[in-house]
Amino acid sequence: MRRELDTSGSLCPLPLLLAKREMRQLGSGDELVVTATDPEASVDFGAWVAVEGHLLTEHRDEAQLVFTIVKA
Amino acid sequence: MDSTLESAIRGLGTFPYEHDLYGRLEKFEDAPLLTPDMLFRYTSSHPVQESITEFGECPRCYFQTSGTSGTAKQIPYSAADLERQIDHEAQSFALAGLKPSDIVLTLASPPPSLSAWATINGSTRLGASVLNTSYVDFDAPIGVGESHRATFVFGTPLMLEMIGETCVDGWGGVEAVYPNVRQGILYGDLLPPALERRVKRLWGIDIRFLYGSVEADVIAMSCPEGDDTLHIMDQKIVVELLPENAVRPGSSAPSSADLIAINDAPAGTRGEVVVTDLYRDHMPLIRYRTGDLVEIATSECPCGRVGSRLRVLGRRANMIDLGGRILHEIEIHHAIERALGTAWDDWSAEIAGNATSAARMSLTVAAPGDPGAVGAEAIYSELLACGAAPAERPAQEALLVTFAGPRPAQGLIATGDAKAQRLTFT
Repeated sequence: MRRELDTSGSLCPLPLLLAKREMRQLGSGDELVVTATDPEASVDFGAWVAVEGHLLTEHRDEAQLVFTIVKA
Repeated sequence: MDSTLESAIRGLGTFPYEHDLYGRLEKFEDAPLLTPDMLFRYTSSHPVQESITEFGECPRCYFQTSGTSGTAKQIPYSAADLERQIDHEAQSFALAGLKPSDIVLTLASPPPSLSAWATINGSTRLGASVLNTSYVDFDAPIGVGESHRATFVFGTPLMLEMIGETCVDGWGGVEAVYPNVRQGILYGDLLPPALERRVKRLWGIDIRFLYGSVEADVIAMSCPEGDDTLHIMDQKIVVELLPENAVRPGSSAPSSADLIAINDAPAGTRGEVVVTDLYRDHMPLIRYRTGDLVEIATSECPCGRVGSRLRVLGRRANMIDLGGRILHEIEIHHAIERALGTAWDDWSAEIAGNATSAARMSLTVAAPGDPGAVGAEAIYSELLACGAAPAERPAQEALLVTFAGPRPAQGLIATGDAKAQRLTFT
């Protein structure tokens, strides 16, 4: 399963909290794609996957950050 | 010289003192003011070596400031500095009521932030246990059935509100997942009364407030028996004040000659906090301008501790000068509270021509119902009673009060984390 979440305009920690809520609906191996505009989101998402063991890839698309997280 | 300051300096015996940041100082009284810009320039041009020390969960040897004063700074610590820092935090947390039997939930920013490091290490130094690492894994104890053990929580007011609302969304409420949390230490610039009320409603806890910064760590802390005033943690730091008149908008740059020792300041004195921490081997902090404004209280605290206490007013950069009438952020919160009671959620304000004769403030208050013209007049009158009010009333059109509907369910008027942005200067 693949879900998308747009948190553009939200400031940290809201993008992370919204992503965590979305992730609870997913199973192991499912993919969540999160779009964010707050540059601090990189720190939050990096710390999150480090703690919970998810797989994270991140890329910048103009002013947006796009995080792809595969649930552990 | 203030006796606390004198004994701290004499005890250290560090003068004459020489450091790349300060040059040679023959005695403490010679030290000039250190501004955030000066500190940024120094830390940028003197990058710290990562081999100086190890932070445990943090691989770095410095803490990074949030950059809300314009530029993020890296504040370096040696291993010995960090040990002293942990003792300082443990003493502060104990003053606020944290006990060795407590089990802590930390909603601090993730490592390598100072807040995560401090809440974890300060708590464990006292003998308390910690369930998680930061707000990033606030729900980890829920997942493993341990959340009921938490008795104490740390975080910024906005973080507790956001996590509290997340608990309502996800589990039916904080009580359902963290039923035994009885007390919390909140930190940040200010603890606005409406936000404090919302946090208490969500979490059902007794709240203490910690005033500090990444540069200085804990500066002052409230105690369980006290009011909204904070005890200065002067076992390690020295606080001086730049009087309000020396730092008001449009005034010339103050110097160390303007400083007054905290214990020489009469009750009601207002000014900017200037902090010194000489107990740092790597980079002592000497006369650092925090940008935070406080008011001095000298009455005896119900807890029995003596000495001056602080009441935080807001940021210097957010000082409002309406034709000579100074207003601070916390005064706006309290003025609305006095006028409307608890029937309001938040506010924002736009200030045009600050510190000029044509200054105007347009204040928008988010409130359920419609307080109307009576409510607006009540807030206007309360704002006029703030601070050392000059005789002349500003024209009503210079201080406009309007109402928005209730605060939206998602998102505040104020945004951000510890540093809520309620004021816009044009």
